[in-house]
Amino acid sequence: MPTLNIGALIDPSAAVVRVHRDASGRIAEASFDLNGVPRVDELLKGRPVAEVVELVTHLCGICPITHHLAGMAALDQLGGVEVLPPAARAIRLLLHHASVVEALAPRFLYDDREAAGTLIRFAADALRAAGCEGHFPRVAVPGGVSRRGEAPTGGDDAMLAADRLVDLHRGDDACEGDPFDGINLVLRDEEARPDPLGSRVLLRGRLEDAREVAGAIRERRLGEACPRPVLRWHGRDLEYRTGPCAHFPGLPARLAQARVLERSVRALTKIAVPAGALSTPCRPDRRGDRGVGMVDGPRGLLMHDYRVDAEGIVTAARILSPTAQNETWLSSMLTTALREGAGRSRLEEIIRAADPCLPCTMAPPGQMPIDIREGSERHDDDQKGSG
Amino acid sequence: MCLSVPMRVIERDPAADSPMPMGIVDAAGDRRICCFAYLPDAREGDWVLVQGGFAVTLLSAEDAQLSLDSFARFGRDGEKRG
Repeated sequence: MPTLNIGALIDPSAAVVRVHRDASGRIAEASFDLNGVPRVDELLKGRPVAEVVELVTHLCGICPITHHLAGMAALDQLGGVEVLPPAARAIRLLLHHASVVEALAPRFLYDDREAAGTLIRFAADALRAAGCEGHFPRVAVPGGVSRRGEAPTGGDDAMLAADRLVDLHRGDDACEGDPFDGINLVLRDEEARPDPLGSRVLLRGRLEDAREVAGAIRERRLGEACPRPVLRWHGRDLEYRTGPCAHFPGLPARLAQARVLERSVRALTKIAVPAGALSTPCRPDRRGDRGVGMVDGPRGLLMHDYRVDAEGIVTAARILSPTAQNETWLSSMLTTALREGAGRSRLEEIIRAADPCLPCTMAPPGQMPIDIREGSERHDDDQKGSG
Repeated sequence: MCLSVPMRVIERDPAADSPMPMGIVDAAGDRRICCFAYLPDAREGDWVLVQGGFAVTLLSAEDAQLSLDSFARFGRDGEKRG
């Protein structure tokens, strides 16, 4: 049975860019290495589905709240709960937006230490107010939430700080890699407004069911750390990306991140938790079925997809992180830049735009460790496919 | 998916003002040198999440144990099933 290589996770690693050349020495492709972000899907088979969601949340120390919410959304569906009680949805939204501020605010510490510091403190308060007392959340349960949370105080100062960061990046150069001609995958509500827990996505001008779209995502490198997913929609393979640059296409990446941050701060100041039930009782382990949960997290769309037998045991699992989903876009930008002879500073900008979930993205500006390697680990993307 | 491992801080580089402060971390006797550039205030005895050679998040002892238990459960279940 596959195992986790703990050493590979904790040993020092830079951002690795692999350069593949054709016979004439021309760059055929550059790819961003995701071996430091392994898949655990195979390890989840054979376990009770509720335990799997808890396991995954505790394995991912970087964005545990996004995994917690995506996993619980999958359990909601397995339990037959399609619409959460309003109070539960509000509390999950508070938790989500607090996690976005917590994840994105430190990215701006080198731009405006005071504003970023205000936002980091606000995020910590907001997480506590939403009911998250430690690093790992225990707030959501299948069908709702286990405890009542509330909106944080201090929203006015946080709003001013977020606005300052947006203003700071308003004059940035255009986003590397734009115009992107693929699909910008963003979760939306029934009115097509961005909704991080939404059940719709906008695809070529039509509002589609997000779970149906998730089911149409095929992996060209099935089960691999770098799966090269593509959206097979009405017979066509569509490239897509997710995250802040998908939310604000055409904007410089840092400005897009600041806008996502600002939007979450605003949401935290506006969401009110109504009175009423906190959950709809359900048993996700009693129906052999499929549960798909999606959350539009700080780096983009995270998907948990479980197939469960009548005993509640996982028979198939697929967890697609925004990092894995954005690798095709990131590698495409790196390929173009390297062909044009770009230096390290531009490569760093590009990597920061896609924002993979690796420690290299936390490095101070201009100091990201990037290891450019020639060749190896090339794949033939068209040999495999999956659903 | 992004995975990070809880480890206990055993030793910190005395040069606290270094741009790349280093230290030694431990998980079940497995010791590694680790960079504390993103967590300069971490102290000996603290629990931190380590990813790719960097300490990235400070953890409570309770949360560290939750995460360690999750990593351990893979091994235990694998043995049971194997």
